[in-house]
Amino acid sequence: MTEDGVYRRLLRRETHRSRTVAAALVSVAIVLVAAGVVVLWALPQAADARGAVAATLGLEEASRAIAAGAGIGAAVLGLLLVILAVSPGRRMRRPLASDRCAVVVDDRVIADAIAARTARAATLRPERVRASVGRRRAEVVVTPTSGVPVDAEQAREAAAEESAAAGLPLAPRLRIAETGAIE
Amino acid sequence: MTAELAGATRVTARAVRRIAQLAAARSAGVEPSAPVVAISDRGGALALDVATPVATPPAGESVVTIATAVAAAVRAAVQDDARRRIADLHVRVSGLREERRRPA
Repeated sequence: MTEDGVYRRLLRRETHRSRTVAAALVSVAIVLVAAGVVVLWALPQAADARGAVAATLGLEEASRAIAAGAGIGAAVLGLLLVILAVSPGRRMRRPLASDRCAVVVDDRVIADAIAARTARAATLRPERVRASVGRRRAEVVVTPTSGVPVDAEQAREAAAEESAAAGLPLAPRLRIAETGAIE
Repeated sequence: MTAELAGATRVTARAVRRIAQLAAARSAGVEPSAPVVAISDRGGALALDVATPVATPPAGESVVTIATAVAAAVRAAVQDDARRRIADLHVRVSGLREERRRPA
């Protein structure tokens, strides 16, 4: 495998959730269910055991309720597995462009960098700016100091510059809180 | 020749309160510690509540005139010295003092 291929594989592993646990659990469940079916229903000499299990569980009296419950449980489980299989399984991190190595950064780090840069541009304390990063968009919320207006355009530009500097095409959306902070 | 230095200057809420208190005291002719100033936020701008005693007005001048002057002085001081926008300013006259000390 080429170096690029290795990096690509590494980045994908780091930025996407592994499905190994779910796959292993489903495999174990299938094996257990199949073994149970074989032991209790397929083998003729297990008739006594089958009768004992049915009597213990009260299958004859409550067979409908059990069947309905099992059906609903299986449907929910199936739905969860389908969602797990179809969803992209992205983690809250993303790769950054680098010539020399594979770089993965948490979205929280990028959001903090954008918030810090915006706070500097708006001459606010860092804790007055909150940012969150989505797939294609960054949300920045600025709480101004009471009585000191914030230059929204300047703050938005700073946020955009910071995400561009990291090589991420994030469109920042800036919101200025209606209530200022007394400080 | 002027020089610009990078950085940000921040006036704290405590300083704003003190600026308003001194301006009110000077205008009302009372001791600097007499006015009580409460600061809150109103839609991103300041809301000031100033409760101050005023010196007994001389003949021909009313308490209302002094209170109006206090409001103007506080507004000017906070906007000019602290560079803060004021949304609301309430001045309450909380008493009369006998001696009036005019600012120098």
